[in-house]
Amino acid sequence: MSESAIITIIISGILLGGIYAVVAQGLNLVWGVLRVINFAHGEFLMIGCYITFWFVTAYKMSFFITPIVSFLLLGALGFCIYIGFVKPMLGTEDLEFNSLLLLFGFSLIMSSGARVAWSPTYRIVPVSYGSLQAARLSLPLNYLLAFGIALLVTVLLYLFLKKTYLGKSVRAVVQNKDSATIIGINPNLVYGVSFAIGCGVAAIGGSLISLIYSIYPDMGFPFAILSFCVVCIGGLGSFWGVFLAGLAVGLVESFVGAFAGAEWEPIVVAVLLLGVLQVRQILAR
Amino acid sequence: MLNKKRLAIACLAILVAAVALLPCYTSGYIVAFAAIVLMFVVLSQAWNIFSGFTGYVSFGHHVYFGVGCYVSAILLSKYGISVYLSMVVAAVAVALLALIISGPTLRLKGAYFSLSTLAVAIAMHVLSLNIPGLTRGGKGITLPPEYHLLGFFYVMLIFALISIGLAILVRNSKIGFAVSAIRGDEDLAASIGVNSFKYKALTLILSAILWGIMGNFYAWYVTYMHPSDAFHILRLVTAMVGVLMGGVGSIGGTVIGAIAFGFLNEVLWARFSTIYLILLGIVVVLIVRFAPDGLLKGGQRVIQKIRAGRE
Repeated sequence: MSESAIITIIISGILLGGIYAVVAQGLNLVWGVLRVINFAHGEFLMIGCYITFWFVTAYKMSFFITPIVSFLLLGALGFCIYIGFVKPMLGTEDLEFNSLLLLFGFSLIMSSGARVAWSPTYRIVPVSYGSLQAARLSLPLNYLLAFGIALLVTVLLYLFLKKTYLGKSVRAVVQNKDSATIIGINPNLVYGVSFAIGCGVAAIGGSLISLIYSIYPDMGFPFAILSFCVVCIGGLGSFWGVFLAGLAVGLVESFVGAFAGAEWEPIVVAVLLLGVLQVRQILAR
Repeated sequence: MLNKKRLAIACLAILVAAVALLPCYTSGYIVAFAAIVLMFVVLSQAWNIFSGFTGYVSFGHHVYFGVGCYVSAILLSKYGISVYLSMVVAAVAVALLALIISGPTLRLKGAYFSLSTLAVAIAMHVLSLNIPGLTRGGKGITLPPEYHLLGFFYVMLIFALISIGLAILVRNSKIGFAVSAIRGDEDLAASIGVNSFKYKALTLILSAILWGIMGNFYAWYVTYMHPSDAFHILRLVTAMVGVLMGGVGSIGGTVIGAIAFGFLNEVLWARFSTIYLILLGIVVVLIVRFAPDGLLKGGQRVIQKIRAGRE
């Protein structure tokens, strides 16, 4: 394989990985703060894709507005799901099992709802910015644009967690819920906001993914698995760990896709997830 | 007390006999429907034997079903072996697989365990799509197209009884005491000398064998096998909701829950086939939200609340 081909594989791996990192960051927030695994994470992403598709095709909106729209709409949906269903469950026995099933139920509702409402056809968002030619390499600008927005969202999320009052209270609640309550932080608000932002970030990831892949109602589940994998590799609750893990998973997937064939790509995530859990287990001993 | 017990056994015997005689007085549709409900009784009970008893939530049990499907699909279509012989092969294959999987996964805790089992199932699903030499990949395998409804129905009935018997046997044996200790507090159980890994692996293998055997007969019955049918995660979720409706860990509750959810599932499918999955999702959400400890206890709670409201 020629040198430029390998460089292309590396670059596209990193660009995809940056988007994976943002998607996983949403799951990281929900899992890390609420100790609830959002099984519907991929479906929030899928609806984000469709929001971008419909706003660009039906309402002739500029692509750049659609990530914000998806974030707001699905963040609101996430908040409602939190208030109505997740909140009463927190602190009960079997939280892990029950929340897993609950959110699996929501993922069923959302994916099959999308299939009924928008048909199972594959769709492509008609946004293309051509490609960048540099030193015998050809880089599609869609990838670069999606990666750029992903980086921006990562930085914004980091600033939110580090600099704002709400972000600081999120971290305080993770560290010690009781002490945080004593100094006047409302843990319920923190949980709700974290859940909403987690879902909203997944939706932004969806808007970005729709620049690269074609979209269909069942596309979400693999991205949920991917996010579980990235969060486990990066370490639950570790912001930059998850970011780096996203890049790494993107790279590995890109190499496996190029050398073993695209049909083997879905297995990468599963094998990585198993491997990482083993390594963690051995290190913990 | 003894009389009550005898009465209950007599009632159950009459019930089983009534179900067994279903093909004599109802249509094929009802028999096919009952067979599938009975299959879910087995799947739920088997899942309960492992996850309900030990507290380790397996999210990858459909891998055993899928492997069972493929064992019988390959043996029946390529070598023309009898389904009962392939049942033995499927049981052995699935037991081996469970043994292999148990090593790396059973030492993980909580959500990490669930995710690792899910990862195994996904890996096997992708593998079955990508080794066409053995599984014919996405084309699927066509089995000898014969009509097996009656056979399937009776096999399911027998295995439903076997699974209930096995669950009772496990619960009242040393294994049962060990796993209930593990469910309560694994470290404490280990500290008083319970070999926790051994008992977890044992229940996992028992439960996997039942799933594998169900897959074996399912492939024989539907006569066509495809990776997305064999490894369908909805089958696992249906079994899990059956257990949840009855009350996790309860043997009788699981039977009732699986039957109740099987009926609901079929009615939804028959009446509203286009929005079936949406309704199924809504049912799952509502059950988890309002009756996470079983419909019986959930119903009691609601009645208590209404009474308290009146006073």
